[in-house]
Amino acid sequence: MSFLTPALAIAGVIATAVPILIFLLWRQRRTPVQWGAMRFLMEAYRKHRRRLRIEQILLLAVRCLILVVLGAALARPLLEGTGVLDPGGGRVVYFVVDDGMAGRLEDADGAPVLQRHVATAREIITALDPGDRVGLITTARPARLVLSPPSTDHRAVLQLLDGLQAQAAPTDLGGAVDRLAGALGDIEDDLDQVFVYLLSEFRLGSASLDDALPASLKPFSERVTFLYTTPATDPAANVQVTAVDPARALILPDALDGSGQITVRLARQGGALARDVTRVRLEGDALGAVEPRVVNWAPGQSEASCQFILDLGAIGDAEAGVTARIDDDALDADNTRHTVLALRQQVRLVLIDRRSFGFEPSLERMTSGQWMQRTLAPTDLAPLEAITVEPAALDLADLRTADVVLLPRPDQLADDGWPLLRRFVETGGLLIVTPPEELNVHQWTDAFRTKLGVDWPIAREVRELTPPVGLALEQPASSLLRMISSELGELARPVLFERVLPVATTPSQGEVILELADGTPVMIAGIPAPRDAAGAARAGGLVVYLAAAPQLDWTNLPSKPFMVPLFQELVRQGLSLIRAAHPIEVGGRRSLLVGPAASTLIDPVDERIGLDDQNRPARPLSEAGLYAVVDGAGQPIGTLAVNVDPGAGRTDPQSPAAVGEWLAGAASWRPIDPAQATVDLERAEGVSPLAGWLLAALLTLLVIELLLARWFSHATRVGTGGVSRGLQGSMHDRDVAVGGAT
Amino acid sequence: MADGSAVRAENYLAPETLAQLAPFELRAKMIVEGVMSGMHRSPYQGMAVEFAQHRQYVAGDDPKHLDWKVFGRSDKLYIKQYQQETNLDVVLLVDASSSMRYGTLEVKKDWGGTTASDRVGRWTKFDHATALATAMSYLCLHQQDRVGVVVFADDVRTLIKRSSSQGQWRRIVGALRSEPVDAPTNLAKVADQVLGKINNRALFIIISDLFETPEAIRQALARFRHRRHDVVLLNTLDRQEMQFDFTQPAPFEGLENEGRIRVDPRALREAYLESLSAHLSAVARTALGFGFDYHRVDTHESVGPPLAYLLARRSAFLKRSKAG
Repeated sequence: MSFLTPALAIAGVIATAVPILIFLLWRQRRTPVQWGAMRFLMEAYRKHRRRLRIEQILLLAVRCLILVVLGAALARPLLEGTGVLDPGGGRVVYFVVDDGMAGRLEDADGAPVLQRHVATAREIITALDPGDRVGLITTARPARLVLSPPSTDHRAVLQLLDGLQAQAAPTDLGGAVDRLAGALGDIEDDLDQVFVYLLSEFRLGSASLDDALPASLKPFSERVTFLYTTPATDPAANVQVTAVDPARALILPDALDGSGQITVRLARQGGALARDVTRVRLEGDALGAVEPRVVNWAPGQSEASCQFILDLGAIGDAEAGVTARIDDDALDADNTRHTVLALRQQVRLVLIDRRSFGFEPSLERMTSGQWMQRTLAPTDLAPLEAITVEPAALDLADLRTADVVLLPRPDQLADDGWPLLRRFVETGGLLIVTPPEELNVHQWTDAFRTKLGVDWPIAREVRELTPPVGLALEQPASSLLRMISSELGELARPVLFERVLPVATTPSQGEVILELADGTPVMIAGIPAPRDAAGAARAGGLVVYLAAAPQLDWTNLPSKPFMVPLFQELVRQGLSLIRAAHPIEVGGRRSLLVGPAASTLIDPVDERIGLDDQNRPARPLSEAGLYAVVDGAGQPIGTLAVNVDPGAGRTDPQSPAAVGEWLAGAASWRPIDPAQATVDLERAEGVSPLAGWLLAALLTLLVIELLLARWFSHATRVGTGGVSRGLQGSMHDRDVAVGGAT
Repeated sequence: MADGSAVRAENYLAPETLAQLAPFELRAKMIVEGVMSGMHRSPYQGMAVEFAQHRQYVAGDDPKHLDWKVFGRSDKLYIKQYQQETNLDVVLLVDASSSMRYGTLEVKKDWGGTTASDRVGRWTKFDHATALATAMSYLCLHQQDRVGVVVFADDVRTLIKRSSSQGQWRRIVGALRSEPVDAPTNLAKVADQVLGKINNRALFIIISDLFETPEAIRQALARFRHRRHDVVLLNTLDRQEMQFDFTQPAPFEGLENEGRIRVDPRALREAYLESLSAHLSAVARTALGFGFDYHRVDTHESVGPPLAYLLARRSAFLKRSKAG
């Protein structure tokens, strides 16, 4: 329970000291009465002392209670959970206001849609009685209970409404519905007098009719009045930047492969999609001046893209934010989009393999690890820093700064090595696993599946391929080999496999990168299954399994031209995909791939947001833009791009019938005309129910106090019959027979 | 001092009081031994004034009392017996214990109170007791009875021997001008002390609030009864003690050091009155059980009516006794 004027409630409690003080002062200040017949008074007092004490305490308690109840009643209490005290005399109105990105859509006069919602709510509040209570829920992700339990302080509610601003986050009607159900659950005794107003235009960005609303409102559907504003039907022209895709998010210095290419994708909605022109600019502190591009929209065209080629040398060894921006339109929130390019001088690679000593082995005797290391770092100038770690000696320190881990000897990994690798992958690492070349029976696959969390049914025994089988000429389209996809057929043609340790069936998790001509997958990439809910949000790396040891006893791949681009792309594109696989959207609060040293984010308006131990921001990210990541010492260690959800900016109107049907799936919603929003608000008598009850209780207490005080004072019995008249002298011989009347 | 006593004596005997007493004679309920001739019956039946009865002659009787006329008619020897008129010995026992200080009636001009009432401006129970005693002694002296006064509390404080001399009344008034003492009542002890000094039978008039236990009062009265004295109990109470109609809570402090309690009088009135009434009833029953008179006197009432009432009841009683 809360109070609109808590000071009065506190004053009521403090005022209980008054009767107590009066009681104590009375005991102190009275002049004693010199009394002759003290023996009889003492006798009466001893007989009734206990009763008198109880009467005094009872009377004092009632008087104190009167003051407390008076203070509480004047303080205008608000009961969160209505119970027997709440007779349901007042109405309860909940406003669910769409303040998501769609609320920023401006009308012809330049006024945002949210203002119309607020105006509708104001009109309804004005029509309410003073005792009616108002609650407020906003839908921008994450949906919030702005005011709950509902309040009778309408002025405060109006101030809250006036303070609402449309967010850059998408509308989360499902979350708002769940919040609303929770709030309604607290006032179930009042349900007949509860009205819910859902104020939204239900454009495509606000309400995805393909996703059903939660059923949490069903229990209230019969008694609560659910109302929603009629969906908008007028088209609103809007162009949005839907993506800014660099060819690689991680760029190494020797990249002359088009890594500096950035593609900006646009979409537009609304109306007839006439011929139009949109100018696209690419901005960034490290980019210098970049020539804008112009997109010429053909009639009916809804999607377009343009490309920029950047001079990557200007970025240096750092991360650089890049922002794509288009001209202003009806909805400005989706007119910009950000990304981060990382230029790395070196990638840190850890090879978990047995060390070899002595002379350089011949090609036939080279191990898988040596082939992979030589492939990735053919010269000392290669942007790869490789270190070799004994499988049995792997510890956390070896993996802390690593970007890529090569594991050609999984059989020799210690038991505690697998959890270390799993943690490495979850924190954004790239792990490439190949079977050990010397074994025929591979028991390590059990640990691989269970401890790494990759549910791939890898066979235990090596399959001999006689005759050797080549790679399929048509390889699956994979994002990992996207950059060399045009040459993939030619590169794969001479490659033959004599032995494989295949995945028994095509796994449900993961993506097949390469497969043999007979359809057997020989390279799979995927993400480990999450260990828990937190892990689900955190798993950010990639595991790649090559079903054959890259060694000449198993395959001729090491001696073919495909070997180098395959592993180079695995590393470069793998790391880029890991970075790009976790877009951060406004309104989100999931774990971020920012490294263990990160402690704080600084948003575009220089507000600091702390990170918890799972790298989750302390509050949802409410602004789109480039966020600086700083460590505990305040030093910048990275940049994050936070973008709006393009889907939230979809301004296409939706059919009112379809919207009504969609809402009807959750509860008995009825449409209202915003201009006549108060018509459905049925009249109900009553003021603040709890205050009324308290006043009634106060009145009852006053009567009780009056009766008790009168009864305990025994004033009613003075002067009536019996001994209560008092005694008289012998001249009035009715009391005691006196004299010699024998 | 003498002037002051004179003035106070006149005030005690207000014309109003005397006027109400005049039509009555003070008569002892029982036959009291007297040494002076008066209006009271003597227990010594003999040759004197009034024939009482015949009694059969026994050896040793004086032959001069033989009724020869009866002997001549019946040939039997009878002795003639007579009742002798005597005067009455009256001893007034006035309680001067602490509780007698209590009073609520405002003292009016020329009421003739005691020093105590002058100080507090209230007519105390002690004032009323002394007024009663003074009136009674004046009446008795007027009838040539011998009157003595004992002022007591836990023991005898002042004792005026019985006398019917002219200066006795002034001595009595002087003794009654004292103040209550800071001591409780001990009637049994006082009875022992007083009865030890009185050999002949007398009428004792005890004027007290009788705030002792009924058992203690019974023991005291038993001593009087054992010595075949007559006793009149004038239970003097302030009207407030009998009504207890205080309206405001207050601390009450006992006049006889019973301590202090804080009470709401309205809450305790019923129980208090029940307790007091039970006590008074017990005392009255005890007195009547011994054949003594018991009268409750309200200090807010004038002295005359209770005295007149008392004397009327005694006269009626004596007449019924004589007739029966």
